[in-house]
Amino acid sequence: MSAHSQILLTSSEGTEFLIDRDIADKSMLLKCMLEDIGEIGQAVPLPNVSGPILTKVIEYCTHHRDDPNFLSANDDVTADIDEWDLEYCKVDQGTLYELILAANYLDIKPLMDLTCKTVANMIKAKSPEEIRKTFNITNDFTPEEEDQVRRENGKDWVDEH
Amino acid sequence: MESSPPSQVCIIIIIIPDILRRIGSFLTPPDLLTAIRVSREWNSVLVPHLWSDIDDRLYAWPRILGLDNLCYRRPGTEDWVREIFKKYYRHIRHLHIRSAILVSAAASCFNHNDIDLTYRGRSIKSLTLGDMGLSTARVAERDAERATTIDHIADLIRANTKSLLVLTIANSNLPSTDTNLQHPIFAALHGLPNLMELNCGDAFCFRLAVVPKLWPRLAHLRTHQSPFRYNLTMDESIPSLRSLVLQHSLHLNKLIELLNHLPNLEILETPISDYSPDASTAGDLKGLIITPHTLKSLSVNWSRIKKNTTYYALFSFLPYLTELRFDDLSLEASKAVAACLPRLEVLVDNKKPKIAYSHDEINAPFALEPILQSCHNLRVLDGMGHRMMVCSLVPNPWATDKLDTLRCRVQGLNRLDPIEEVRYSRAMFSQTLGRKPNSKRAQIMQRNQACLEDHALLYSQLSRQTKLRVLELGVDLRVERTSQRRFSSGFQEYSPPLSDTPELSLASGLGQLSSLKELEVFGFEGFDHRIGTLELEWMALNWPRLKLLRGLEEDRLRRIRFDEHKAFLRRHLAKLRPQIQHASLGAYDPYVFWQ
Repeated sequence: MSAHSQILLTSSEGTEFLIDRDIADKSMLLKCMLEDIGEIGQAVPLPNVSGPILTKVIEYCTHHRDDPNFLSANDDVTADIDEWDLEYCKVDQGTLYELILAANYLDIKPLMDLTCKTVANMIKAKSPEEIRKTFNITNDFTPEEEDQVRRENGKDWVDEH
Repeated sequence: MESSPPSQVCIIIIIIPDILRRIGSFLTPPDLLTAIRVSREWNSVLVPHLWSDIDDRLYAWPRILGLDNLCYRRPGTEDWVREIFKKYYRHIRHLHIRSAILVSAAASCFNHNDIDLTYRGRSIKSLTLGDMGLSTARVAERDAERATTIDHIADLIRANTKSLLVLTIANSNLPSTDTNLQHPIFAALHGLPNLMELNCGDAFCFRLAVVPKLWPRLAHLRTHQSPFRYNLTMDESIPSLRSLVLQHSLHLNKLIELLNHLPNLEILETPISDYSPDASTAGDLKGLIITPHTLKSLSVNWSRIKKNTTYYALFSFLPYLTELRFDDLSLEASKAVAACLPRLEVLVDNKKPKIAYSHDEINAPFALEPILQSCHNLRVLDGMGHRMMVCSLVPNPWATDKLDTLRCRVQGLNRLDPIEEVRYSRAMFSQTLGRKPNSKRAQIMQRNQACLEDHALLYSQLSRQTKLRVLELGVDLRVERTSQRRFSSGFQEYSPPLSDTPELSLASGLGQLSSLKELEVFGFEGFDHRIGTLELEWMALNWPRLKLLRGLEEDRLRRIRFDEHKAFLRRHLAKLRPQIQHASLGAYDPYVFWQ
């Protein structure tokens, strides 16, 4: 296994991507697979990931290629997202969710945390109604229930006033 | 962005609660409180997040529970707390309490756990019993109340015997007498099979020998015990302990004896001394050393080691140390470190910076130099209290080229005084006019050459440290000039910056530091520097990761005149690299450190 070997990936539409082994290793799924079965010389099919999303994922892994703290990169919940990552996440919501799913499927923890953090930032400082609107969720609470949820869960212990 | 058709999107979010859970871990309680009202799905996924971490110092808890003396506790609070705890207690993983109401609510819930079999085993992982003042009986009739609370705490601990990983008990909860081992809370601590971390001050006076029996997995212990409690017999050892923090000063003999029984200890924090009535010698210490210990990190909060030989004995017992935190490392101790600890990576010295008052102090050698000369893995050298006297630096390169952080004061450089500067520029001017050199001009040229050589020596050492992220070379040690107070108009006069500090101008060779591409923090407080717009432009260009400068921040000294020049430089830098911040270590009051 030389460090410069390359891996062929196939997206859901059948597009092929040739990437370096160290980039593929950022994905725990691919890393474990390659370690288990070795390099078979065939393309690895990724039926759950579309071409454009895979391009995006590879872009992320390539940028963080030599990052020594890659696995602990987004561990700090309160830390700010770095500039490049912030720019990287400026995509439409659909792409963002597909990225989450791809990161989840390929098991790339830092990308998963980054995208989830981005969604969390979309939830922050909004009212329940605004959140529903953003994520197109129907309210299945009656007003009484909603009020009860709020009262029990810390209207008093969370609110400052 | 918001207009993308999200119908399919929200299905994705709903069908994967795992993802929503992950998102929830990035939200704080105020946002979680909003999010759980969005829908039933979100509610069921996120409510556990909201309740997983309950800390009665945060949010409105102190007000509700009447923990602040000024606050009035509304009637019915007890019932309300009990009711919501009954409903949500099973989500709590981390609990910090210092209120008897919360203790009783939690304890009563956890006793119900026996009924609610489905949630067994998913209970509190970390418990902190804050300052409840249970050891002092101020009013007699509160005794019964205290006894109930103590019983509740014991119940709470017993209900979570299997799950508890971290336990912290504030000192004030228990009377600190030797008899408190029969205390109900200590009795409840018997047999916590999974406990990893115990912080208990001097609340309990247990012998260390009980650790393997009561808490077989205990890896981190912070305690404040009288030293005789550390006595372990030959066959007793505590293999589970990884880190130990002792607040009681330990004699070196005891320390070495103790370490012989803690084979896997990696981190030790303790005050030590070699002062003892029966004055042991380094020779005695050697008798105790069976094999070198594999300790990795040692923090000595304060030391009373008087004999230099003791340092050699101590450090040769700990050859695997990679981190050493000390206070006021002497030159002799530093030589011992250099000789015995070649693997050292981190050295932090908490000695406080102070102004040199006598000539001896000014000429004192740089105590940390032996370490720089011989520890080839050194990454962090943090000792603002130490002065690197450039005039006495040896020109051979430091052993390490991996320095990430270097914090110590740099002084002792030859500098031209203001009159010499004028004479130097005149001499230069004469030279360009082609005038014949005379002895005066030759003299000033020679002076300037000496300055350049000093700077070159410093810059050449620093420029090899290409991994440097933090480089801080000065603190602000200005003193009020009281005698001039009456002449000033409402402003206080301060002593000028130290004149033997680096010039940091491009003319003095700052350009050599262009190799420090990783530099994020650069500090030069208290320098008589000549940084101007050219130097700032050079920094902006050559240090791409620079985030913070210490040296151009506005002065915060009492009644000081506003420094227009610093403000001008900050504005200039903001035009080049707006994200670079300015800060100050704070002006040190030298009188405090004089004592």
